[in-house]
Amino acid sequence: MKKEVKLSFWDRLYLPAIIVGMGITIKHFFKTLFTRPSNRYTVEFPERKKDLPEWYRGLHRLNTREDGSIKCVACYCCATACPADAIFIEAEDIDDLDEGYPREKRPKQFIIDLHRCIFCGYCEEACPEDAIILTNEYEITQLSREEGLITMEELVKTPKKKMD
Amino acid sequence: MMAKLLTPEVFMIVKVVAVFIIVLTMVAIGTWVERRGAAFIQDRVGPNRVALFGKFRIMGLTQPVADGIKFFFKEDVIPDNVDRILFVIAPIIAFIPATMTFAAIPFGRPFDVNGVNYFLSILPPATNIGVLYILAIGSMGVYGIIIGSWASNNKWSILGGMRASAQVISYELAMTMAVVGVVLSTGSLQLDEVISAQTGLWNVVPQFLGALVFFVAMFAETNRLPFDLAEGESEIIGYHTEYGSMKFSMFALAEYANMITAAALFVTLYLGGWHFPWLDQWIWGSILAFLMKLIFILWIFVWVRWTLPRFRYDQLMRLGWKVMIPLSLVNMVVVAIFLAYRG
Amino acid sequence: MINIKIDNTERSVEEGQTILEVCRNLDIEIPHFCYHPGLSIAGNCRMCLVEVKGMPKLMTACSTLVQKDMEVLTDSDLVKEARRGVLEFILLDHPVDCPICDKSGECDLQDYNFDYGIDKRRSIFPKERHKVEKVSEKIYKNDNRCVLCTRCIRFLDEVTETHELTTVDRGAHTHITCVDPEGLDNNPFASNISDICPVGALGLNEFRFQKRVWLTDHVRTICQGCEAGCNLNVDLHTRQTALDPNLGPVVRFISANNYSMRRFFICDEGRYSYSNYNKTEERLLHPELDGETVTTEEAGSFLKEALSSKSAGAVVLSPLVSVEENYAAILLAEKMGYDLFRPSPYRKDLPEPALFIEKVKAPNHNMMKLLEIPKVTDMETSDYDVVLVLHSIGSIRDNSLVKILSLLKRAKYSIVFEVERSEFSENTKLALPAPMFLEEDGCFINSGKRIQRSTGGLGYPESVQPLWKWLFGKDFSGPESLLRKFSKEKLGIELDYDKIGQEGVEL
Repeated sequence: MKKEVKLSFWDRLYLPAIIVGMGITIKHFFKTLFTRPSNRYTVEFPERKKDLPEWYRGLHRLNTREDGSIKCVACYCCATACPADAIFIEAEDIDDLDEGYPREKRPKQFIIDLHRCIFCGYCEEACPEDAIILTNEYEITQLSREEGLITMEELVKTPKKKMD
Repeated sequence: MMAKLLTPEVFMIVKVVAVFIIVLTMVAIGTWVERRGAAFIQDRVGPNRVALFGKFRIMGLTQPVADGIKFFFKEDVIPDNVDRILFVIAPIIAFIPATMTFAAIPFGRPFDVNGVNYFLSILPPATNIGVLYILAIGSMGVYGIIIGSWASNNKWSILGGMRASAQVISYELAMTMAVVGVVLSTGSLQLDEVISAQTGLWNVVPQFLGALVFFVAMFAETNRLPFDLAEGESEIIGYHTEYGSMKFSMFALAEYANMITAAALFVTLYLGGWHFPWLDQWIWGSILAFLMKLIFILWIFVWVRWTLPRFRYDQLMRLGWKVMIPLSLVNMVVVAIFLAYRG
Repeated sequence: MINIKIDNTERSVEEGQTILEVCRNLDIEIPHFCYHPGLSIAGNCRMCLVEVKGMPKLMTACSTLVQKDMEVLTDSDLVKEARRGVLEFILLDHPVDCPICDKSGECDLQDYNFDYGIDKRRSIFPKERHKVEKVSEKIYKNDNRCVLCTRCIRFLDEVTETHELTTVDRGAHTHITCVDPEGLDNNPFASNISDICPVGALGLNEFRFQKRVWLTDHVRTICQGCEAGCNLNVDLHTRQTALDPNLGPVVRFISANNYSMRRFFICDEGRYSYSNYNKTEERLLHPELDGETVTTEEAGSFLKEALSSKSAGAVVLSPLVSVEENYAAILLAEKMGYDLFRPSPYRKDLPEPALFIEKVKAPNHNMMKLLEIPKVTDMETSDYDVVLVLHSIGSIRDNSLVKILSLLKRAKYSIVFEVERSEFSENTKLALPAPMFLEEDGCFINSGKRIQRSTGGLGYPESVQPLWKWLFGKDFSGPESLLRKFSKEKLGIELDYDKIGQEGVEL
C-alpha cells in the first residue's frame, strides 16, 4: 500500500524540521554535559559496578550443606540438561547414611568448561538438590583454555548471590 | 627587542608555523569534539579513559594523541592488486589542498609597525584572486578521494569515489554562484576587501540566501553528514575501504582540515571575518573573534552530523541541481538588481 | 484359539496363557513388578491388577489364565485407582532417590509412577532407612528401594537353585537378606539379579555410579562368549563430550529377553566380557604389510597381486566372525578354487550348574559345522601359495593355531584379516584390519541352529573395512545382501534382517 503524505511548504523546506531536530540534540548534549558522571546512563565499569538483577546468570556455584560438604550428589541431571556439554562429572561412593539423609554418592570430579558454557541456567533448573546455581559473578576471564575448566574446589568458592 | 626582530620575513615564518600547528591541533581537537559531542548528544559518555601518564584523564583530551600513536604504529598494509603509486599518493593529494587553502584566509586585523604593514594571513590579503584561489585549490581535494578509490581496485571504493566526484561537481556550482553574490557586492576578489566591506553589516544578513546555499554546499563539499555518501559506512564503507594505518588517518585529517578551511571561508565571506563589535579594535581581539566564529561553525558541523540522517543519493542530486543551483542563481540576480538599482 | 475381549476389543488368543502374557503379545501394557517371563508366578506385587467382568474383585493379570469369552478391562477407572493405591503403598517407604539411583532411566517403578502414580506423599511418618550393603563381590543391595517383588529370590531358587537370598522379618519390616554370601560370590549367574530387579535395590558394583543409563545408546547383539548365542542389550557410550575420559565405548552388557528361545538370563562370564571390546592398544587400525603400516590402496594392490597369482590357495574361516564375513571368504574360495578350512574353537569346561552356557567358546562354530567345512588340522597338503586367515577377538585351539601359523609362514602371499594384533598378524605378509562385532551388523548361528542377528551400533573407524569390501568392493551393498545370498545358496531359504528380527530364526 502506498501511503501518500501531503507535505506542506514548510515541510518541503526541511529547514524548520532541521532546526527543531537540532534543538532536540543540543538539549540532550547539555543535559548529558551537566549531569554528574555517576548519574549518567553509562556505568563506568571497573570503578563502578552495575547492580545486577537476581535472575542474572553468571559464574556457577556449588552450594554446600551446613557441615561444609557439597550438596551435589553427582546425579548427572545438569550434565544431561546441558545443551553445550560443558559439565563433566565423575561420581564416587560414600558410606554415610547416619544423618537421616541418604548420602551414597558424591562427585569425585565436577568440572565446568566455562568456554563451552552458554550460561543458559538449565543446570540450575535440572538440579534436584539446589546444588548448582548461577551467581551474579560476571568477571570471569581466563588466559588459557585450561584455566577455563573450573573444578569442584573452585566452584564452591564462588561468592554467593546477593539476596536482599 | 621584539620589535627589532620583527621583519616581514620573520613574521612570515612565524605565521606559517603557527597556522600549520594551529590547524593540525584543531584537527586533533576536532576529532575529540566530534566523538565527545556525539556521545553527549546520544546520552553517552564518549572516550574519556585515555589518561596522561596513566593518571590525568583531562576529559579524554589525550585520546587523539593515542589515536595518532596507534595509527603510526599500525602495520601499513598495501593490498596486492592496487595501483601502488596512486594508492600511496592519494591520501597526500587529499591532505595538501586542505591545508593550502587556509593560506589565503586573513584571520586577524592587519597592523603597522615602524611603518611596515603586517597582515595576518599567509598569502598577502591584497592578492586579487583570493576567492578564486580558494575555490580552485579547495576543489582539488576531491582528487585525492577519487584517485584513492580508483587505485584501491575495490568496487566499494570506486562507488565511493564516483559519488564523491559527482557530488563535488554538483555542489561546486551552487557554492561558486553563491560566492558570486559576495564578489558582486564587494566588487573585488580580494579577501581583505570582502572583510572590510562587512565592517558594519555582515554579509549573512543582506545575502541570507547565498549564505544558506554556501553553508549547505559546504557540507557537501567536505563530505560531511548529511551528505557523506562518499563514505556511507553502513552501505559501501567508502572510498577508503582498503586504507589502513597512517594512510587512512591522512584521509581523516584531510576531512577535518577541509572542514576547518570551509568554516574559515564561511566566516570570511559571510560572518565578517575577524570583525566583531568592540573586540576587533585590538589585534588579539580580532584573532580571537575569528577563532570564536570558526569554532562555532565547526561545532555546527558536529551538531548537524548527529542530528540529521544521511541523504539518499537521488535526494542529494535533486537537492543539488533542482534547489541549490536555482537558489544561488536567484541570490545572484537579486544582488545584481539591487546593486544596479542602487547605482 | 479362543475369543476374548480386551478393553472392549475382540481378540483371538491362544489358550493356556495368562492375561499378562496375552497383553504383552498384543502390546497392551500392564504394569508389573513381580512377574518375570523366566520365573514362576508369585502375584505378590499387586501391580498388574485388571478388571475382569463377572469377577467380584480385581484380578492379577499375571496369574489369571484367559478363558473363553472373558472380558478384560486394563485401563478402567477402577484399575487406575488400584494402581495408584499400590504405587502409593510402595512409595510409602521408598526413598525416591532417583537422582542417585543407577536404575533410574530403566526403572519400572519410575516409569509406572510417571504413568499411573501420584505425585504427593500423604504419609507424614518417616521412612525406614537401611545402609547400602555389598552382599557379594559383584552385587550391592539397597533395601530402601526394594519393592519386595522377590524376583531375585525366585531366580536363585528356581533357575540356579542355589538359594542365597531370602526375605526376613514381617510386615512393613520385611526385607531381603543374603544367607550365603560366599555362594553368591561363586554363583556364575548371580549378576542376573541386578537385571531382573525392577528397581534399583540390587545392582552391580562394577556399574555402580559409572554412567547414567540415559546417556548411553542401546543396541541388541549376540554374546560372543560361546555358541549358546545369548541375546544381549549393549550400552554404548557414543555421546563423547570434550571433557569425558576414556569411558567405553562399551559400558556394559545386560541380558535381553528372547521369548522364542525362552531365554532371559546370561552368564556372568559373558556379562563381564564387555571390557574385551574396550581395549584399544592392541587394535589393528591400519593395513600392515610386513609389519609396516600401509595405505588402503597399497594393501589393495597386494591383495590383487595375490589373487591374480593363479596358484593354489587356502582360506581358513573363523568361528569367531559373523556369517557374512565368513561367507565373503567362502565366495572368494569358490571363485578362485581355493580350499576351505576351519580351525577348532577353544573349549572350556562348564561351570556348575551349566545353564545357558556351552563348552565351545566361539559364537559361529555352528556355521562351520552346518557347511561341513573340514578342520585345518585334517589338512592333507600344505603347499599353498595364497593363504587367507580370518580371526577376531577370542581364541582357537592350540593345534589349529600351530597349523595355521605354519601355513602362513610357508605361503608366498599370506593375508590375515583380524581385529587385534595376534600371532597371526605377526607371521603374515599382509594384515587387514577388521571391524569388531559391535561395529558391523552380522549374524551368528548358535548351538540350537538358530540364526540370530547382532547389530553394529558403533560403526567402524575409517581405515577399517569389512572383508567383503576388501574382496568385492561395491558388488555388495552391505552385510544384508551377503546374508541374502548366503541363505539362498547355502541354506535354501530366503532370509533378511527383517525376517531374522530380534529373536532369530531356527534353521
